[in-house]
Amino acid sequence: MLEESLIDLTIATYSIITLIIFIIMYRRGGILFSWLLVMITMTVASIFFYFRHFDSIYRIIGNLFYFLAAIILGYSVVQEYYEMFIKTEKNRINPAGVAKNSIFLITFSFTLINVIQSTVCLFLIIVGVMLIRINLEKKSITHSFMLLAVITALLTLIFSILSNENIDGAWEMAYIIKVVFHSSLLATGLSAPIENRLNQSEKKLFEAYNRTEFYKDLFAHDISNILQNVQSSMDLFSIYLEKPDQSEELYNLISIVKNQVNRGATLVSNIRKLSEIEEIEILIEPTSVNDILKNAIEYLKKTYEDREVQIQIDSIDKKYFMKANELLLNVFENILVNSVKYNNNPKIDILIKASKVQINSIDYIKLEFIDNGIGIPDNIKEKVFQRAFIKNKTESGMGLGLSLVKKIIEKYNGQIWVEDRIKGDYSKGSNFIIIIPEAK
Amino acid sequence: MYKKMLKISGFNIVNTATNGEEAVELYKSFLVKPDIILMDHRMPIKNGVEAAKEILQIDKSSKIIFASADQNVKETAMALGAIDFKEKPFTMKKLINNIQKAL
Repeated sequence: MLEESLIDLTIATYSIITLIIFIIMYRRGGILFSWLLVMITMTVASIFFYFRHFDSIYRIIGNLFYFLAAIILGYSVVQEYYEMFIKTEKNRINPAGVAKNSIFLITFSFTLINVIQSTVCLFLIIVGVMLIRINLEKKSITHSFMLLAVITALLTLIFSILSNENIDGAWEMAYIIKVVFHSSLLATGLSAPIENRLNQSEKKLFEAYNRTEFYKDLFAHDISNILQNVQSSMDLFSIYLEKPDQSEELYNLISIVKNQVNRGATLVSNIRKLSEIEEIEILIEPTSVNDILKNAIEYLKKTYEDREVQIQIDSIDKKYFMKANELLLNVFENILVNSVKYNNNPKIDILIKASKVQINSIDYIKLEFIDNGIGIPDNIKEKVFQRAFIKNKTESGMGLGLSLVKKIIEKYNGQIWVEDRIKGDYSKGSNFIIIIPEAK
Repeated sequence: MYKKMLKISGFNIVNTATNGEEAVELYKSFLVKPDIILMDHRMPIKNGVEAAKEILQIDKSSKIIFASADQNVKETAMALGAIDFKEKPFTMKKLINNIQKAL
């Protein structure tokens, strides 16, 4: 039979090696911190277990560390179980609470030192059952190794209890299982980051696929609509051509076709911008609100030379700078164009207000674009920013403009929403509100 | 534009709706139901397929012709009981032919 101290030394060395590998993997990301803690306590326990051959006090300390490892191991599983099956959005777990609970759990187990072995066993059984449920749901390799680790931890405990009772072969079994326990912990550590990375790339791929499908659908739909409008205009055109005195109708039809061409061009450029924003991390720099707004207003006046548009600017300080970039121009242009486009009044009034606000100790610049347009009913106030949402039958696809705006603002860590100009009566016009972090 | 074109071709347009919900409400309000309903699919609040479903529940014999750029809903619309599905873009001549056939 092998010398017991030699086996203990082997296990201690083995656990130190696995710990080193574990730490390397942890630094690469993907491993839970609690699993690293388990690994550390396990290693410390193994080292103390070796030293028990010099002084029996180390045996007790070693055992304590083993229990601690089992508790942390169990706790990390309980936490994951809670997140998966019990937690709702409202009672989100907070790190301070977790820390408090861990301290409670540890002190609790230390005071119950006499019944600790059986308590830990029971705890591990519950944890094992929880892991089986998590496994059924997730079907991940990492969780299978975790389950193996929990089972072997449980068996290690049972066999060390048995070996204390001097049952034949129990301590040999305890050693073998301990090695398996260490190995399965290591396997968990090795597979977690790999699986994590795999999941992430799968998620990215799925998102990219969805995006492509969305653009394809949007493009096909809107282009078909544009072609339909051109086709119908041409059909009508040929009918009117044969009738006398229809020059006004003919003129109208030409302007419809012109409009549809513009719509197609806007669609193409919007889709291009949207996909660029989604793919590339954009550069954010201090951007003057005043300068960009001036350009946007100039663009608006040129686009709608035939309409009477009055824009009033209230309290925009020249020193207002946002953490944004040149895409801010698209944001302002889109909102302003909408104010004119969805407006049936002979005189279009737009009021632009600026102010500074502080939310969660972050300084924002708040801009309000208040118009006297047709307004937006409450039930579609959020939908107007969704990509696939189409405002109305004849002008389908216009939802893309505002979804582009929202995407850009989100890139700036800002927010956009819409309210009524006159609270409670949407038909009197809208108020588009933007907040973007201030650049100082 | 359809309105003008259909008028020129001699049809009487009873009313138009800008979304699916409005279409259903309008249909309910008609004492004499229209001969043909021309329906788009992608509309706010309620889409064309949903609106057609409700209209057909009210009156199984209503004749609904879809005119839509969403080819992928063609099967659903036809299975529901629409009598035709025109994929955009189409010529007015074809639309009018289809309407006349349906009548």
